[in-house]
Amino acid sequence: MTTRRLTLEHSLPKGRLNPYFEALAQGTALAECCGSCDRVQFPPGGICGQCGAADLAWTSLSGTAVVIHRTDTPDRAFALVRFEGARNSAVVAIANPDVRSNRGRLVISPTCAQGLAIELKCKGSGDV
Amino acid sequence: MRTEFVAVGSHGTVLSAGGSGRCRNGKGVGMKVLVAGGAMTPFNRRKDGSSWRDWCRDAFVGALTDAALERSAIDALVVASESDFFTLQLNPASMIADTLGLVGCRSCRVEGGGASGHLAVHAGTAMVLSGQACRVAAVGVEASATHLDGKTVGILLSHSFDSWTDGFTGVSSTSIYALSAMAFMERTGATVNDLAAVAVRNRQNARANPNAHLPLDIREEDVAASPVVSSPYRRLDCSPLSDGAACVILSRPEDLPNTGRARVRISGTGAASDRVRLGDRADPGRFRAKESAARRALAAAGITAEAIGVAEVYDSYSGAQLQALEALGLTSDVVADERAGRFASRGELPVNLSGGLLGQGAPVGATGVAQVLATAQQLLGSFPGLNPRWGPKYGLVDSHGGIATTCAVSVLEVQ
Repeated sequence: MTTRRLTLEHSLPKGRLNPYFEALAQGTALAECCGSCDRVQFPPGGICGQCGAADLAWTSLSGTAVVIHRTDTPDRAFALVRFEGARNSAVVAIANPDVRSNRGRLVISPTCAQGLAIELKCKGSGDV
Repeated sequence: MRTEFVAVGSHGTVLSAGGSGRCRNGKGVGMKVLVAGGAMTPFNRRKDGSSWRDWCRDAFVGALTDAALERSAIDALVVASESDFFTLQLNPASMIADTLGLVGCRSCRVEGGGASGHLAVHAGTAMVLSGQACRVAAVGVEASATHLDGKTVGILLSHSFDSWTDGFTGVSSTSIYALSAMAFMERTGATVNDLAAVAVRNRQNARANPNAHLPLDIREEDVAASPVVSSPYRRLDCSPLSDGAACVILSRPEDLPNTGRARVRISGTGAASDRVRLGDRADPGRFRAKESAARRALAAAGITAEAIGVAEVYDSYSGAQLQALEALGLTSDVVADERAGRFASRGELPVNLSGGLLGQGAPVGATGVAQVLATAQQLLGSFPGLNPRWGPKYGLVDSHGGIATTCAVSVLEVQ
């Protein structure tokens, strides 16, 4: 048996999606709006998911989201959510998995750098 | 070298047969490519000190024997392997060609996640059909179980989806599949008991398979008692990470020795892709690309789904088997048919008699090759495990990468 240790540190340029990732790092939801059919999509994909157009402009969303489906692991939780204003949905990490709620807001999560995360709204709080 | 093509009409009816060598409207090729032979290693967690190169050699030599061919008869090699991270070997096709004594042959590697092995068979079929090769060895291999620790493998596989969005959240494959399954369950009324029934049945089917990784005598309550991985999926709803290799040899009948044995032909192939991210799909619980791939494969074979008598379906998770059966058009009401026992080993349409990924195991690159091999053997009644009660003429093979993102379907037919 031979043991080899490989340590990798990737540097990944994001190209035309760079504004999305820069906004995400600030906790802001930057979506794409199709110049052809006005469809808004978040997260962005570089091509309109409805009409296939590549003429897309950046537009900011509120960052609030509605949970469609949620799955819990022994130590984390993830959800398929739709951000307000977007036509598509997104897989996100839930930053406060102890909370059971179907609404949340985009947050910067230290546990998933550059990944989408939402903090669920506690029942009774009115800030979402 | 003569190539036989059959033109097929838009409704799948055979219109004419002959040697024009033309495929009308880009579909409807009646393929004359046979599964000349095949073999696989056991799928398991290897603890015997053998290497992935050994597994490739064992599968290849076994396939040659099964096909009654000499090594020198092989003129092309297609290798399926999902990730170099497992083997720590880039350009594995060259390495495997060298290991198998196939230096001088054309060789290449095909990769499409969990569909890699099946896509390698498609590539080999295309090589034979196009006249680029006479006898192609499709070898699938993966060392998913023991070369890296499970946590590292999980991190690698989480990048099977959109690594820039899904991957950066730290979400696992199981969680992605769980979210898709929930959408499926909401739409169809399938319950966790339906999922558990699949998990149990495939493990029970695997008990007759000497190469199976997880031949388990379990009941639905065992599934319910197993630890939650990502709700609603529990450990026994998930296919294992396996080590192993499989090989099939593809050729035209005129390029094979006459052994007097019945063989199976690949009468239709189809492939398609879907949006990578679940959230970009109109229905995250529906496997649309699989629907397209199945339609293409069935049209190429000139049959409808009703003709299929046995199927090996990509059951990476218990719910994924039900989602696949729906998408493949093998049922009009998958939940009702599941509960009625239609897919049981002695049902009307036996599914995953090998045990599937859940029971036979899943060394990713080898999986699709083994699925093709199992179906071919089941059609001939020679699978070293459960075989159909009667001799169906057509079998269907279904594989996918990602979450039904890259889909491959083949129709096999007894000659």
